[in-house]
Amino acid sequence: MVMLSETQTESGRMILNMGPQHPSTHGVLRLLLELEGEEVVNCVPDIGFLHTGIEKTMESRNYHQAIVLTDRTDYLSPLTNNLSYILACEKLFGIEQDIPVRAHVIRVIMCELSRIGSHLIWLGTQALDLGASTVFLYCWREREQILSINEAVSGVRMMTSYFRIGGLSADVNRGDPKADNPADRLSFEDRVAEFVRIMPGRVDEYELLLSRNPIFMDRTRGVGTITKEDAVRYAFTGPCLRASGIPLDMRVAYPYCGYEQYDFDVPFSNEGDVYARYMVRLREMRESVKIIRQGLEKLRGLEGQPIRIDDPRIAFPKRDKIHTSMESLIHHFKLVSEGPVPPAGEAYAVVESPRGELGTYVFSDGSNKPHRVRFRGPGFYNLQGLPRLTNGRMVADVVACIGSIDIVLGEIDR
Amino acid sequence: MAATAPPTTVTLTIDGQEVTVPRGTLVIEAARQIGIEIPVFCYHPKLSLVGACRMCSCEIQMPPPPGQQPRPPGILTACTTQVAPGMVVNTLGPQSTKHREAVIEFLLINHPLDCPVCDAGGECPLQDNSHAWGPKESRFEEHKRLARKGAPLSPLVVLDQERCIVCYRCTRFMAEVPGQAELDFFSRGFSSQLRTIDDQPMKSHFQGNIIDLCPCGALTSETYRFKARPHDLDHADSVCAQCPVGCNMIIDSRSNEVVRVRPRQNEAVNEIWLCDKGRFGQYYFSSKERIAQPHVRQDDQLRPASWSEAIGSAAVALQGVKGRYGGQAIGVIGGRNLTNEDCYALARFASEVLETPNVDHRTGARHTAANPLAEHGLDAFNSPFVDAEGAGAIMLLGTDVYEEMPVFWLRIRKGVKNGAKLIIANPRATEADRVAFHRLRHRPGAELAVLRGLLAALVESPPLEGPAAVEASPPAALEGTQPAQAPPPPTRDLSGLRDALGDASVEGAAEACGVTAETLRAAAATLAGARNPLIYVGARLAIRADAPGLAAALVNLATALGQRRAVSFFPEGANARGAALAGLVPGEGGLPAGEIIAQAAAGKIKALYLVGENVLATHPDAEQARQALANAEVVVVHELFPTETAALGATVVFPATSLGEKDGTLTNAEGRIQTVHYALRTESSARPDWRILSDLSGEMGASLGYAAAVEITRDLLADVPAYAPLADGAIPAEGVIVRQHGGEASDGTGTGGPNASWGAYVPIPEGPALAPPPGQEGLTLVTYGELLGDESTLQDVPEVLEMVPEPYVEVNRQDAARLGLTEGRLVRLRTARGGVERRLRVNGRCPVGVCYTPDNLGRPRVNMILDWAQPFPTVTLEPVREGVAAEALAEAGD
Amino acid sequence: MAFVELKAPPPPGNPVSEAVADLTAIAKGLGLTLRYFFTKPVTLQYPEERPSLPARHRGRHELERHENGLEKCVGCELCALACPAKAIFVQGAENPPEAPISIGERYAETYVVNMIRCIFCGFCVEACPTEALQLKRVFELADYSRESMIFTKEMLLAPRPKREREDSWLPG
Repeated sequence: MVMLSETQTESGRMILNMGPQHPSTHGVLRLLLELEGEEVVNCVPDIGFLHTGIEKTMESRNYHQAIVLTDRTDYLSPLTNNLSYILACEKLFGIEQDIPVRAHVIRVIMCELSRIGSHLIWLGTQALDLGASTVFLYCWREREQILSINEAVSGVRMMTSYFRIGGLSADVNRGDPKADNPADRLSFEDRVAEFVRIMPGRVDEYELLLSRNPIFMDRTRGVGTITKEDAVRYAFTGPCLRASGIPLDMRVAYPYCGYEQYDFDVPFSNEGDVYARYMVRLREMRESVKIIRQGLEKLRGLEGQPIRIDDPRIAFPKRDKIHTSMESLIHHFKLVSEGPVPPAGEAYAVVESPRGELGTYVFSDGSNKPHRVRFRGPGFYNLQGLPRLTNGRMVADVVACIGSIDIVLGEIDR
Repeated sequence: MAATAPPTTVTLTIDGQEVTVPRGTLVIEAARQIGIEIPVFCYHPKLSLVGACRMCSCEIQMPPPPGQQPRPPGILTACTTQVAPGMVVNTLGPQSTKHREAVIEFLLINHPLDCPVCDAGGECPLQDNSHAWGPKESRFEEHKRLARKGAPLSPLVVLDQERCIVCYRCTRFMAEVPGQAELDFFSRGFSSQLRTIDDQPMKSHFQGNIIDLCPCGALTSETYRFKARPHDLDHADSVCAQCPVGCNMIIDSRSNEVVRVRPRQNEAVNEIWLCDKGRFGQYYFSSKERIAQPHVRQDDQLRPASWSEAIGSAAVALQGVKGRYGGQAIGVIGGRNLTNEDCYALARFASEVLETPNVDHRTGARHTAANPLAEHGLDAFNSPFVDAEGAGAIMLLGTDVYEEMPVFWLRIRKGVKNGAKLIIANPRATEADRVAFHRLRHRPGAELAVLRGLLAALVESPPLEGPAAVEASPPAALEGTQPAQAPPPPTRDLSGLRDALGDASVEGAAEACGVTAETLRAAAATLAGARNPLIYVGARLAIRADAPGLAAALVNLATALGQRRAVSFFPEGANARGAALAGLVPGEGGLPAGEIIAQAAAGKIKALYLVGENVLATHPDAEQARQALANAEVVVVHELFPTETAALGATVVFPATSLGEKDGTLTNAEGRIQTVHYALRTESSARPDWRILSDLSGEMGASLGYAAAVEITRDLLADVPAYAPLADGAIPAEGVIVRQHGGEASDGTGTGGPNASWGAYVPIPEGPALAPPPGQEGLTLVTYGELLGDESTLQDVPEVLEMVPEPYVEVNRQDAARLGLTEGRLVRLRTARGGVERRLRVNGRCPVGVCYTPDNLGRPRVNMILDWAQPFPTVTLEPVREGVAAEALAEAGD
Repeated sequence: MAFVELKAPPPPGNPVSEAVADLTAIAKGLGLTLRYFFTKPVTLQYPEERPSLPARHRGRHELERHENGLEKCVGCELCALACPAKAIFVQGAENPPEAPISIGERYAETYVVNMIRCIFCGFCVEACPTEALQLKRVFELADYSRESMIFTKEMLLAPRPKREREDSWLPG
C-alpha cells in the first residue's frame, strides 16, 4: 500500500502525484501513481479536495431549502440530482402517487436533456484528453443549447433548482413571438423540438470524427478493461456497468416519473474497455433524444394541466390566491418560513443519473428539517474501480481511464 | 362507610389509547398527558373556561346505559368537557376535523391579509392551526370587516381589532390573574370590539402578558413592533434582576441587541407571567448611554482612560488609603443587583485585598445584621412562594407588594382566590387593598405598635391548639350517620407571650398606631383562625432603626400562630439574598451601609468602593451622601450608566457589564438560586464586575485569580454553607431553594428546631420613635419605591417612560382642602433640608396627615430633603407658580 | 424497450485496408471541420455583443415600486426566511403615516443582500407575498471588494417611475 506522503517506495518505484490540480483529473482529484518505469503498478485515488459538507448542510435547511444544495453535488446534471432528492421527499411525504402527470413529463424531458448535456461534457473532455480538441468545441456548442433551455425554463443555466416537492416551481415557459427580447420568443416546446431535430445529426458528426479515428481507437480499445464480475464487485452503475455487459438501467429496473411509458433502448456492450463506454454513451444520447420526442408528444396532450400537487401543507398555493385568500396566504407564509413538514420516517429514491444509480436517502424526525440526507452517488463507486482499470497500463492511459468513468468530484466529495 | 365513595380516577379512551386521570380532569388535559395535542384558541390552562372558539371539538362518545343501544358520538369541546368513565374520544374523527375546518374558515372570513406585516407571523397559533387544520383556500368573496388597526391600548400594547378572533384570553387574564378588569369586549358577534374601560390607557403592571396570550396578532408589543421575526432571534435563558422575585425570562436578541423579553415557565417562581418592568425594562442591556470605557478623575474632571491606567490608578489610590489609615477606613457598598459571582468576588476582594470589615449591600442600612430574623434562628424568607397559594391568611406589613414584587403579588392574589384572608398594614392604601379582608391603616413608622396590638389581642383570646384544630370545620357529615360531637380543642398556652409582651394592651397599642382596637382584634382573630397563616414584611422595615423590635414581635406573632416560619422579609434588591449569602454583609466590627456613608461624611471613612450603587439617589439622605463623596479621598465606582455618583464623586469609574452580558447565578427572595446565561456580546470595553475585581486585585498584589464566572460559581457553592447541597455544581433549570437556618426542621408546626430557644417567646426591644409626634404642623412624608421609576435603565424605552407617571405627591382630600390645593397643582415639598417639586394627587389613599411620594421618581430625588436621622419627616406643601423657572423660584423661596 | 448490444467495428483484415480505413476516417473528419469553416460562428463577441436573456433569468435583485412610487416591500422578512444561503437581512419598522414609504403598516427599514452569499436560487422571489422582489436580467456583478458586494436597499430599489432605466442596455 502506498502511503500518501511518500515519493518513493522501498522497492525503488517512483510515486507520481497526479492532481489535484490537473486538467485531466476532471476536478480536484489526486491520484497517487506507483510507477515501474512508464507502467502503473498501483493507483490510489485520493478524494476530499472538494468536500463541501452538502449532506451536513442539508440538515440545517428545511426540506424546501435543501433543494438548492442538491444542484451542487453533481453539477453537470443538476436536474437529476434535484429529482432524486425530490422523489425521496415525495416518498417521505407519501405523495408519490399524487404528482401531476404534466410535472412528471416535464421532469423526464429536463432530465434527459440533462443527460445529453452531461454526456456532451464527458465526450468533449474525453476527446480533448486524448488530443481531439475539435469534438470538445462541438460538444460545448450543443450543450449551450441545453443550458439555454434550462435558463429559459428555470432562470439559471446550471443550478436550476427547478423541481419542487410535489411538482415543479413553475410551468415551462410560454413563447411570445412578438416579444422584443429574442430569448423570450421561443416557447419551451419550440426550443426542445429544435434541439431534438438537430441533435441526432450532431451525434453522427461526433461519430464521424471519433469512432473510426485511428488515434482515438488506439488510445481507447482494449484500454481500461474491466470484467463484468469486477464491475459488479466495485458496484459500478450506469454506462460503466453497461459497457461491461450488464444492461442495468434504473429507468427500466425501477421506473420513476412514468419512464415505463416511454419506448427506448438500453445499450450495453460486453467489451468493458474505454471504447465500449464511449459507444454506450453515444447511443444513450440518441435514446435520450427518442425519449424527449415522446415527452414532447405527451406534453401536447397535457396542456393546462397542473404542475404541482394541490396540497397546501406541502406545495405553495397558486400565486394569485395569496393576494385574495387568507387561507392561501397563511399556507404560503408557513411554507416559506418553516417549509413543509413530513411525518417521521425514512425514504430512499433512486434515479438513473448520467453516471449511474443516484440514490437519495432522507431520514425525517418529524421536524421541518431533514435529520439526515445521504446521497448514493455513482461516481464515488465508479472511482473505486479506477485502479482496476489503470494497473498494468501506461501512465498515458490513466487519462483515458479517468475520462471514461466520467466522474464529477462535486458528487464524490459532496 | 366509605364503600360508596366514588373512585378518584377515571379511565377513558382517547384515539385508541386508554388513559387514567383524576376525576374532573378536562378531556384536553387528559389528551395532553398521553401526548395528543388538541388545537385550541381560547383554552388556556391558567385561565377560566369559556369554550368560545370551538376549535378543540372532538368526537366524544359515552357508553350507553345498560340495555340500551350506543348513541353516535357527539361533537363536544374538549376544553370544557370533563372526563367520564368509559368515554371514547376521537380527536381526529372525520366529523371533528370537518368541524375544525369550518371553525377556521369562519375565523378567517374577517381576518385581514396581514401576515406579512403582522408581528405574530411565524409564532401565531392562528397561522399554525389554519395551516394544520384549515381549508385550502377561502370561499369568502365579500368585503372583510374593517376595524381599528394599530390602536394603542396603552403605551405598551397595540390592538389590531381586525385580527381579533374574540377568544377572551386577554380579558380573562386581566380580570382573573391580576384582577384588574381594564379590558372588555363591547358589542357582540361580528362587531365585537375589545376596548379598555372608558377608553383610558391600561395602567396595569401586567399588561405585557396579554401579548403572550393572544393567539393571533391582535395584541402586539409596542417595543417589539416590526423589529424581527421569531426565526431571526437568538434566545438566552435568563432571570430578571429588576426585583427580588427572580422571574425566569428568555432574552430574545437580534444582531446583538435585545429586541424583546418573554417569560420562561417556572411554576415555582413566575408561572408564565412577567411584570411590565421585567418585560419592557430590559432594553438597557444594549443602551447607547452605557459607559463604554473607564474614566479617571484628573483636575476634578473625569476623563476617559485605558483599562490598565484606570486599574493602576485605582490600585495605587486604594493601597494608599489602606497604608495610611488601614482597611477600617475603606467602605464597600454594592451587590444587591449583581450576580452571586460578582457578590462573591466583591466580598473576597473586600476581605482579602482591601482587608476591611465595612462591607454591605443594603443601602441606608443601620444594623449589622442583614437578616433581622437571624438571631431567632430563621431565614429572612422562610417559605417558598408557592405556599402563598395555600395560606389561610396572608398579612402584608409595610409593603406595597404590587409595586415591590409584582409577580409575587399574583401568587398572593391566587392565595386570596383560594380563600386566604388578606390583612394589610400600611400607612396608605395600595393596590392590594382592593382585595384586603382587614386594612390596618396605621400611623407612619408605627408598625411595631401594630404588632404589639395584634399580640395583645392574641393573648386576650388565644387561638385553638394544634394544626387539626385550626381546620375548625368538622368532617362533612355522611348520609345517615350522626357526626360525633368532638370535644372543643384546648386553646394555646400563650403565657410566655404575655410575659414577653409586658403590660402592652390592645387599647394602648391602638392608641400608639392609630388603628382601632376592634380592627386589631378582628385581624388577630383572622390570623388565629387561619390555616397556614403567612406574614410578609416590606424590605424597608428590615433596615430601619426599629428592625430588631419588629423582628422579635414578628417572631412572637408567628410562634403564637403556631407557624414560626410564617414570617418573611422581602429583600431590598433583586439579589439581596444572594449578596448576603455571598458575604456582602458587615464583618467583625464592620459598619452597615448607612453608617459607612455617615462615617464617610464625617471624614472617618477615607475610601468608598461602590459597585452598582448610585448612593446619591439611593441613600436616604442625599446631602449626607454628597458630603461622603466629597470627603472621601478615593471613590471607586463600577457602573453601567454615567450616574450622579460617578459624575460627582468618583475617582475612578469602571464600566461594568449588564446582566444580559453575564453568565452567573442569582438568588431570589425565597432563596432560590437560578442560573443566568448571557444573551449579548459586550461591544464596548466594559467588563463584568468580578473580572474588574479580579484584575484590580492582581494589581494590588493579592490576585483573586478568576478567569471565568463558572470558577466563581464553583468556589461560591463550595464555600457558602447554605449552598452546600449544590456543591457538585449542578443547578437545575427551575432553581433550588437554599436555607441558611433550620433547613432540617420543616415539620410545618414550627415547634421543635435547631436550637433550644426555638419556639420560645422573645422580649421585644423598644425601638426609637420614628414618626413625628402627632399634632405637628405639616404632613408626615412616606416614601416607597415604585415599580416604574425614572431610573437610567428605563431611559431607552420611551414606551415605558410614558407609563411612568410625572413625579407626584399624594395627599388626602381633607388635607388638600385644608391647604387649599387642588389636583394637578405643582407643589413644593419642603423640609428643613430644602424642597422638591412634585405634581399633586388628591385622593383617599393617604390618611389625613400623611403624604406620599415615590422615592425613585423625579429629579432631584426626594432623598434631597430627607434626613437620615429621621425616616418620616414632617413636610409642608406649598404651591409653585408654573411657567416660572424653578431656580428663580427656589431662590425666592430661600 | 430493448437491450441493444453494441460492438466495436471489427478490425480490417490486412494492413493495407486498415491504412485505407484510417486515412478515410481522418479525411472525413477533416472534411467536417472544413465544412464548418464556412458557416457562421455560433459564438458571441461579449462584451461588445450582448446575450439575449430570457425573462425568467435570475440575476440581480431589484425591489419594485408601485405606480405611485411607494415601495412594494413591506419588510415582512419572508425572503430572508426562505433564503437557503442566509444572504438577506431585513429589518422592519413602522411606516410613518404622514410620509408613507410602503403600503401598509410596516416597511423595510433595512434591506441588505449579500451578493457573495447569494446563490440566485430565486426562493426569495417565490417567497415575496407582495411581488416586491424580482431577480432581473443583470448578471455582471463582479467587483473588487467584499464590501461593495453588500447591496443596500438604496442600490436594490427600483428607480421611481417615469425615469430612465439605468440598465437600459438590456435588449428590450
